Amino acid sequence: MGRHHRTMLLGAIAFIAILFIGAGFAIADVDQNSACDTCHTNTSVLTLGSNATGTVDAIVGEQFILVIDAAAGSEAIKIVTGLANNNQFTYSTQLVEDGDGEDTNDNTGEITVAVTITPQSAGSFTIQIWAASGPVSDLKAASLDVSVNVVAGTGTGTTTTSPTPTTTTPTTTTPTPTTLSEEERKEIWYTQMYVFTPVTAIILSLVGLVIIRRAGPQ
Amino acid sequence: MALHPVFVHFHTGIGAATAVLALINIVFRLVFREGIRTPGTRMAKLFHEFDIFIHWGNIIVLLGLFAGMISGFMDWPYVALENNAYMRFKILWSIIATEIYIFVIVLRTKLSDRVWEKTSSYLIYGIMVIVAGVLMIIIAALGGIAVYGESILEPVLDWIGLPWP
Repeated sequence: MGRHHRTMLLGAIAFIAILFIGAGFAIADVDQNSACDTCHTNTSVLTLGSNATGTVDAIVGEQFILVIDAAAGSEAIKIVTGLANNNQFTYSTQLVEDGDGEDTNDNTGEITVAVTITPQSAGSFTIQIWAASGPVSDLKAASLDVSVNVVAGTGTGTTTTSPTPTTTTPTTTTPTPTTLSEEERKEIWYTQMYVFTPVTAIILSLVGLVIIRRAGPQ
Repeated sequence: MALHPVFVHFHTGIGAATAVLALINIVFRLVFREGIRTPGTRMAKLFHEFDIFIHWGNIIVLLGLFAGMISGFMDWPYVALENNAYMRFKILWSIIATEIYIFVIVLRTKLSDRVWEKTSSYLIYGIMVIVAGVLMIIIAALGGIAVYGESILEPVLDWIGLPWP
């Protein structure tokens, strides 16, 4: 093996080594905005529960507290705004990772968090909560749906815990979505798939033909 | 068992390398036209070696793209992919990248190194290799964000506004 080849071989080995080292920097992803089981396909390990027993009764603009418990190796709890009716409420926190300040459970792989939730409009809603964990080779998730019946007006709402009463300024304004919904995004994507891919193929074929013709015979 | 990651790293690196070499060869062709035409000179040898690397690199990337697509669909159900903005972007632009790689491979195979003769052919050939390489880098970076939660290219992707839609 010549010196030149040895250098090339060492370079190739170094390149592959860098790829493997780079792949090792895997961390849990908590920035996603879709249901966790989109990628965390193992949904049979983690456990997720709350102190809500049946449908929670609430009043527009009046806070209630939901205590969420995740266990069996959970690394994060997330309330994704775009899922179920999650956008009908505001939350004191929507993401809690194991060991965060808001996590009141000291055990690793277990998260307990009290989330203060404020309904924004009246109606029957579902809050969808997710817990997730890694590693990349076995992505796990669990979901919990909490039904909430929100009524307008004044009065005492039923809380799921016994929190210190808190007074807030009621609001009946339904948040107006400023971004495209997931369904709209998917529709745009399908349109792009049907338009971009054949158009690109046609343009490249035509350009290729012109270039080959202009080049003439070999 | 995740199969996709096994197939995607190597050809993405090759795609990035071919893009860089295509850029260098375009500069060589523009600036040192006589040097690369003089047989036996170091410049001509380098230009020729880069040309060969770009061609075979493109073929490897195309094969890698097919493997990446097949393993991607094996690892995740389609409904999970279409529900994720990163994956939607990756699917669409992987297909576009595949088309571009087929284009440059056919062009280079048909014209051999004559592809570098006329401005109309080498500029389109070189630029398309660069575009495809950049697409590969973006597609890989988005995959990295989807799986690992971060990528070194995040500031650039945020600046461009990717992924869309």
